[in-house]
Amino acid sequence: MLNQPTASAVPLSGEPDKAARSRSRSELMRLSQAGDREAFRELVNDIGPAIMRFLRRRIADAGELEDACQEALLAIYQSRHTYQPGRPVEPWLFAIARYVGGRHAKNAWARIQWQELSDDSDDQPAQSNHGLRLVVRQAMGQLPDSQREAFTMLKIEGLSLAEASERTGISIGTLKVRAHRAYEFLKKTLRP
Amino acid sequence: MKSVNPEEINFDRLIDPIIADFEPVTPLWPVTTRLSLWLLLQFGILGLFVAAGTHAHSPLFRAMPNLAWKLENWQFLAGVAGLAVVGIMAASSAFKTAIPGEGEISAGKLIMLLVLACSAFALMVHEPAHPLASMHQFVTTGTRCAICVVMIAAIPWLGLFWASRRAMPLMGATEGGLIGIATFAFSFAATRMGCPIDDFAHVVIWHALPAAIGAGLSVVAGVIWLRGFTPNRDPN
Repeated sequence: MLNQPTASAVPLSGEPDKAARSRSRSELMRLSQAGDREAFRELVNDIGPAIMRFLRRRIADAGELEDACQEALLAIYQSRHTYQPGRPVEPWLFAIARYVGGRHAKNAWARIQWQELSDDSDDQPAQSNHGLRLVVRQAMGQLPDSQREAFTMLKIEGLSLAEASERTGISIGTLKVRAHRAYEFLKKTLRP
Repeated sequence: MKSVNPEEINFDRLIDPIIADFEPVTPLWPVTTRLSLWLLLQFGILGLFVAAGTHAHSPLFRAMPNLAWKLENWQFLAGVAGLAVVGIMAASSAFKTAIPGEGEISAGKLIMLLVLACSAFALMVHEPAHPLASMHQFVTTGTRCAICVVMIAAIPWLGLFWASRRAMPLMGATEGGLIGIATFAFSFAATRMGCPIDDFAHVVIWHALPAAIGAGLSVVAGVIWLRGFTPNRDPN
């Protein structure tokens, strides 16, 4: 390990200022690049819940979610050399998490569709809610990843455009367009 | 279905196996630095071909005898400049796209690049054409030009591909396409400057087509080898 200031010197808790928090995350990332294992651990403990929440919007299954989270952390670890020191960490982190989450979600959708095809529909409980959920889920599954993500963040999770933009590193205009296209598609698909 | 509370997750348990052999890494140089280095390589290769072309016995690249006159033609010059701009923009986007969160290239920008490349191509072929005498001449001179297009692009392509792979491209096809556009825009312009044949069919079949095929193959290479995150990958 290199002779660098330790991660514990970087205050994280009790910082009300978002910019200051982002700066300290940048510092933790810089220390991680220099080989400070504890700085990386501290960064993961700080940002991990946000990554988990981010992934939970795409992946419902608890086991799958934990796998995806670990894979995202592995991807972050393996690509830590691509972080540009001094820049905000969040767009970099969430771009990686989005990629991993998208890959898992894609696999999960494919699996669900296969299971639904192979299940005997007569054995399923005839509940209208179940049917509706299935239809919505299938329609959402047909959306491109980018549109599904924008729609989920803005219309289901209720994030503001600024929050969603900060989290994903995508411009507000692009997010608006993606969410609108997803909305139009769902409206067309779900109309009786 | 059991829900997961992110606050209750033990992240130490998740990352302990990952960071067992934690080592320092060297951050990538900034995009502008890497782009400048790549342009140096690109122009170095072009310089080598031009230097080789000054020898009378050069089997491949020869500067066209009327190049000075050609460069006074604004359409030809604008075409060359346009392709150089396309090459630089595509290379810059390739470097940026290979870094997560640095900025994905939008579909609009990609279309703009293609339109600019097509416009530059149209300007360069909008010249008085001198049809070739025979089919044999068409094929022999054309083959030489096609090889030139590929050879001039080869090393810059490998350099840019390696640099992208060294980062973490998350969109393999886009990344491969950008690399292809960047390198073949330069090689097309350079070959055009070296080739004295103005015939439209020659330029389309032996210059533009190899460049387009090369860019297409670059997309395929991107899909196969630029897959972003791969488990057990060593960042250094």
